[in-house]
Amino acid sequence: MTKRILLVNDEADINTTVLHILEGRGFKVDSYEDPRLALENFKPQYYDLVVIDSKMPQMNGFAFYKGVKTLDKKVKACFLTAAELQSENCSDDILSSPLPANYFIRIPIENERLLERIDEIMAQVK
Amino acid sequence: MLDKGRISKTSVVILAVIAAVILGVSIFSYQYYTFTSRKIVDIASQETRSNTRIEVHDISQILANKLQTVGALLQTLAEAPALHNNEYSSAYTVINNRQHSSNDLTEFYMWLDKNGKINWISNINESTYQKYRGTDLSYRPYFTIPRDTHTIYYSNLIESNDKIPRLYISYPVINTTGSGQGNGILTGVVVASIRLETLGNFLISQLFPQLNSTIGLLDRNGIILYTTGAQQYVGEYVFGNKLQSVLSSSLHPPESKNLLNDLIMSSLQGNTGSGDILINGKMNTIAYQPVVVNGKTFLVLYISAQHSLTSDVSALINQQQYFTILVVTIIGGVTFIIAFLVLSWNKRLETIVDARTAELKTAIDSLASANEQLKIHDKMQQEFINIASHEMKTPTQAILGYSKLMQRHPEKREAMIEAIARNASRLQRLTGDILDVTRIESRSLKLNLERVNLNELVSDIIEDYGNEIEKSSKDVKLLHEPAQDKIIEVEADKNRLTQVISNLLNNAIKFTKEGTIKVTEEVKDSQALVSIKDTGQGIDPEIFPRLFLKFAAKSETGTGLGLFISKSIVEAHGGRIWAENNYTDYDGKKGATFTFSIPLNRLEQDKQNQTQEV
Repeated sequence: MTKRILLVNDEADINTTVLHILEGRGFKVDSYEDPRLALENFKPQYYDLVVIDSKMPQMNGFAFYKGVKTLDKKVKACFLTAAELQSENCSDDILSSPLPANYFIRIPIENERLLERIDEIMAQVK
Repeated sequence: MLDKGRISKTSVVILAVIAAVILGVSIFSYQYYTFTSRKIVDIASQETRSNTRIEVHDISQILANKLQTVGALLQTLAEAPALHNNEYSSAYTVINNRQHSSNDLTEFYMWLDKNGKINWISNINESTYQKYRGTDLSYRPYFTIPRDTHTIYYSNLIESNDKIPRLYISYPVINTTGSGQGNGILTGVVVASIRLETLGNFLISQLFPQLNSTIGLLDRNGIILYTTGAQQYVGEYVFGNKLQSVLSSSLHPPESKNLLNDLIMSSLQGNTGSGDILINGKMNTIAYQPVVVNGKTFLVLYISAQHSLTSDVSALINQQQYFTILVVTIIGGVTFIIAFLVLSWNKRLETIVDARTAELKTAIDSLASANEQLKIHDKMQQEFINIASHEMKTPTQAILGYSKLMQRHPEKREAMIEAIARNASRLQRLTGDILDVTRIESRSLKLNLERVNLNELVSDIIEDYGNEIEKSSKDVKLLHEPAQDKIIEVEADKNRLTQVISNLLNNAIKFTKEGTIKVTEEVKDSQALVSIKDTGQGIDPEIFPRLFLKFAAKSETGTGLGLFISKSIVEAHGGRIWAENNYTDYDGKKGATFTFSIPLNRLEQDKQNQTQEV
């Protein structure tokens, strides 16, 4: 069965490239540049994975994650982050506990490596 | 001078307490000295009293001894054989000798025959002797009493034939030589005469010179025999009308007379004693003692002493008292002044300490603020790393992604190359900005100054941006409002100035979805002003205070370095940059206005002035 992935990233070029990479692998991908719109159109129990940009101007990636989790408790999620510092990977004021390190995919990343990480996450993250 | 206003409330209380203590000590010392003075006066009075008693005792003893001596002399005279044998010439010598031995008191000795007629008077010359010889004195008690009693006789006051008051002592001459009939028969009487005046003088000579005292002498019946300085009353009965009326008129207060009378009454009953009597405002001690001769009261002696020592002591004590109060007051005053000075000094010290404390507080505050600044700086540094990291990695990821995807999607090759180029420029811009910031922070931002026509420069930039806006589908109009009929020339780094204007225009375009962006140039107060006014969303109040600081980015697609760099460039030119939100804008749109100034060079200023004059 085709896996469905929701991609949210305000950077159009990142969105475009990641979309192509994921679709090239056979995933069905919905992509949004505006997280607010993505949340508005979110379909619970539909996606197998949500790939979120951790730093977006309209809405912080963690706030988006929290919003998604309230709509769909079981949905898996991971973050694309360009941040240098670990502190950027967890947001104490939004989430009650920091997320484990394997939730994060650090860019820049080779296309193949990105797919490997996505596979890993789909397999591990509950 | 000391400023009274600087003395605090506490100080006033302390000064009041000191003043109260001084007053208290003054009152206490006054009371103490008054008490002491009374005590000392009492002691002095006691001293006067006892001295007077001692004196009256001593003098009455002396007088009694003296009178007894005279009595003894009379006795030996009466026993002299010459008198018994009527050997006149040797009897005269014996009598004269007796007078010689007691002439400090006695006036003369007299020998009366058995009928009371004068046989001999001591130390008398022939003519006087002839005059008095045989004078009959048989009626005088000093003859009759020894004749009848065969004992010594001490007379009362007797006024003699010559009107001179005298006392007499007489002794019977009894024949004891023979035996039988003649034995025990009175053959005459010997008499010693004492003039009251002599007696008085004798008494006076016995007084203690230290004691300011007067003397009085009464006989046992209360007749005045002697009183210092008032001889006119000699012979008066002390309780007689004459003397009593004199006492009534001369003694104040009136009760003093009664006290005196009581005292005299007691003395005449043979008592010894003393009393204090206030006489005309002065206290006197009157002491009295009977003069007892041969076991009988013969006279009563009075000595009166004024309490002058007492008043002297009292005056001295008063003086001491005033002196002490003065000393206490002076010490108090000095203490008060010292306390005042100490408190003022304290106050001054307090002020200095306060000032120092304030300085310290300021120092601490500035340290705290420096610390805060460091924290902020630290946070900003982290922010910078995060932003820089994001800004570098995002286009890198895009380039990386596209370059791989291009092979799989040759049909999208053109678009992907364009995307790669776009991301590469983004990286280039970032690199430029970071380098600029580094230059600014290391103060090595160099300007290549040249003469720049501001209008031309702005026009060129606007043309480029106008094309760009046209390409994008934004409904934004870019307007240029150059200074009218004026060429504004400034001394500036053309590239850097372009960078500033481009940055401001970029921001305006980024935040303006529709409306107008208007660029204006003008000259004001020797400054060339360039304003970029938009109808965008305006400046976020959260970001406003740190608008020109590093990383003040609200947009996520920027480094937040643009305005910081622009500000540094403008300031390097000697100008200023500022921003404001528009409130009365055309089309009812809000938006923001960014303005920067570049100072006109002198040449340009002159030109501008000329233009204005024209």
